[in-house]
Amino acid sequence: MGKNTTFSEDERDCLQEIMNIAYGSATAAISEILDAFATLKIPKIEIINPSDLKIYLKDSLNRVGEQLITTQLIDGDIAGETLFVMDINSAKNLAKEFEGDDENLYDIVLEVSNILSSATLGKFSEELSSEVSFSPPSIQKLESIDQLDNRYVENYQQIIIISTELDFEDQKISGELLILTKDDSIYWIQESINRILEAL
Amino acid sequence: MAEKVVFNSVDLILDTIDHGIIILDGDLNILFWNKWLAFKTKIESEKIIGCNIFKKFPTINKKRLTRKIKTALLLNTPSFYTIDSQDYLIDIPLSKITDQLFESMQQNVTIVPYDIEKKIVCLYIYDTTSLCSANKRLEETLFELNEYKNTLEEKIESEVKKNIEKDKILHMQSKLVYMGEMIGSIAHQWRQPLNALGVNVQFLEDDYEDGLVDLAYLKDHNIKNMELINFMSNTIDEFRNFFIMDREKIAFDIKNVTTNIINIVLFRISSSNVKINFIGNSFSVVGYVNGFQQVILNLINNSLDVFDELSIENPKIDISFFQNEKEGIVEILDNGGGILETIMDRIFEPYFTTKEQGKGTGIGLYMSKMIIEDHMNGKIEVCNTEDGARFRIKLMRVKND
Amino acid sequence: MKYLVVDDSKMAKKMVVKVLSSFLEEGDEIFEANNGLEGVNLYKDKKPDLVFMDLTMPIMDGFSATMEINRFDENAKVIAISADIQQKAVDRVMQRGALSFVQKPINEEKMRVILEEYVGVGIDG
Repeated sequence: MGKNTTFSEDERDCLQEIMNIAYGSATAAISEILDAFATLKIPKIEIINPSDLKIYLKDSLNRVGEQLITTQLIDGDIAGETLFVMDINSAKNLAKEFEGDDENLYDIVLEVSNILSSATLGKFSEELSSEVSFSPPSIQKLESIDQLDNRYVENYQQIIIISTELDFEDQKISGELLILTKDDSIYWIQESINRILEAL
Repeated sequence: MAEKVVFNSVDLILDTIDHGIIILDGDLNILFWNKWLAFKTKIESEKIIGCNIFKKFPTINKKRLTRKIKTALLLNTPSFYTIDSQDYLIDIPLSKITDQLFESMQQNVTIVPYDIEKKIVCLYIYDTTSLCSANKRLEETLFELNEYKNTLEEKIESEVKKNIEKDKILHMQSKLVYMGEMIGSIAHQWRQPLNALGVNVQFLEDDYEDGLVDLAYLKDHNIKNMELINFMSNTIDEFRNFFIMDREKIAFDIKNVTTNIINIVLFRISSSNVKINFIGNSFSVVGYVNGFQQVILNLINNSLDVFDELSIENPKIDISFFQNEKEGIVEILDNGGGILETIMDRIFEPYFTTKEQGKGTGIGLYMSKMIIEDHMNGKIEVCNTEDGARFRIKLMRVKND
Repeated sequence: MKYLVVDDSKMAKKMVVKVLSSFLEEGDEIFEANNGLEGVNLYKDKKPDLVFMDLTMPIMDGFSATMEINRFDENAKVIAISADIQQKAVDRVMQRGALSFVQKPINEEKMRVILEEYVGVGIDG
């Protein structure tokens, strides 16, 4: 098994579908917890190598300007790290949703990304008959994607990028949930998906 | 038979654990309050069991805590209170120590679902005061460093600007000095022809009255005067070259260019009886013709000044040309006695002069060094010989194949 | 029985069909559509007894398709299946005539309940 895992079309479809389910759960959780209604956009899924991360974020996803990054470590059959990337404008839009709550911008982003990550990954691993545990999240602000830490290139095997858009009533909030996998987690995901495919 | 050790309750662990544990029910009433908290808050467990957490601690953001608890229960996963703006959940004042950064204990809270149906959650409270203090100090230091860096950068910028200005001024001044010399030379060259022209024009009337003016006379008169006029006109042409500002580097013959400039100030040289000797073979270099001529002129003038000042007998200047594989070398040696050892290392400084006030500008050698070293990538050095000062100019030479 | 499964995801359709297949009897047919528009057209053509409708689809989404189908046939039986289970989404599709709402992924138990309730399948099974 080489370093790069390629997913076949069927595997990608299956991954996409499971992600849809997981993500739907997450959006519902957000709505209920934050007491707001959000429309779910089908998450666009991309699997890339860590060396392409910065370029992908800048070019394909057009991430320019200041970004807020929330990180959490994950452990279990799926091990690694989740990153939630949100640009500062989306964050401000998000904060507007909770105007009058006297909340700090960072706190809100932390919460939303924590809910999204936990719910998405929780449901995702559930579908694959597994469990995932989380570390407390931390947040940092980057002036631009260029400042993204290079250690991601060294430490992780492959990155699953789930691009999402949450439309809260009139606010558009876009962000990327990145799952950085290590220790053969990506193979485990692929095998689990294949098990599901076989059963179909 | 060894007695079996039985842990009959988990109370010991809960009582000695090093962080706070609270259990809340669905209405957010306190079901459990561990010893650590009792000790830190001075509120005994019995006094607080059954009370609503918000009633007891009104500073807690109710909406936020409720939401976090909801998250934990809904997703069946721990949720976290990494407290930022409000730095603690339970207000525990710290005893006054000098230089402490926080008045109350800084806390991180983890909320874990205990019983999802009954909506019971467990809160773990961690004291992060020392971590937060360290962070804050680090932040402050980083901030100061950044400020310092910015100030430094500003200072450097302004100094660099000043230096650039100074250099510009020096450059202008040296050009003016040079132009002044050139104009002096022109004036000198024209004096005699102008005189002669004046004489010829003045005598014309008298000669006419004496009946000497015929066609032959007129023809001769014209030829003589045109010669003078042409001579003056040529001077302009010659000097014009010295005023063309060097735009580009070009290849030139070193001896040629040196000879040209010396011819211009020949009047000064011949009047003071100075002997100029050329030694060695010429070579070509790539550089700024005008700039190089300024340098030669400067060195020659310095020697002439010394000759005048010290009334040297049999003053001479030897201009030698050498070459090796890569370089071409011009040496200018005079017999003016040399430069004082004590000032040797200062002579290339701008505005440094040994001449009396008003006599020397001190720009010459500084500009010469700039032209040779900065503009033409060469080297200029000086040392004393038993006769006098020897200036040595090294330049990359162009090979003539 | 004729069943119609409408979903833009190939996998999702497969999953529904898989669960459905344990309840199939001889002569039953399953039709598949890739989006709301195809679904509406297929409904008009084949007149299935039960429709499983995904909500988020391109060209025409599940909400509009449900509405169209109910306009065409007021007795249409449409079950909404979706990853998105927010109350507003549920309300919205129910208003347009859906009979019930199931969160993806649908499992055997949920399928059994639906089939029993809406098409009377599996009562004696």
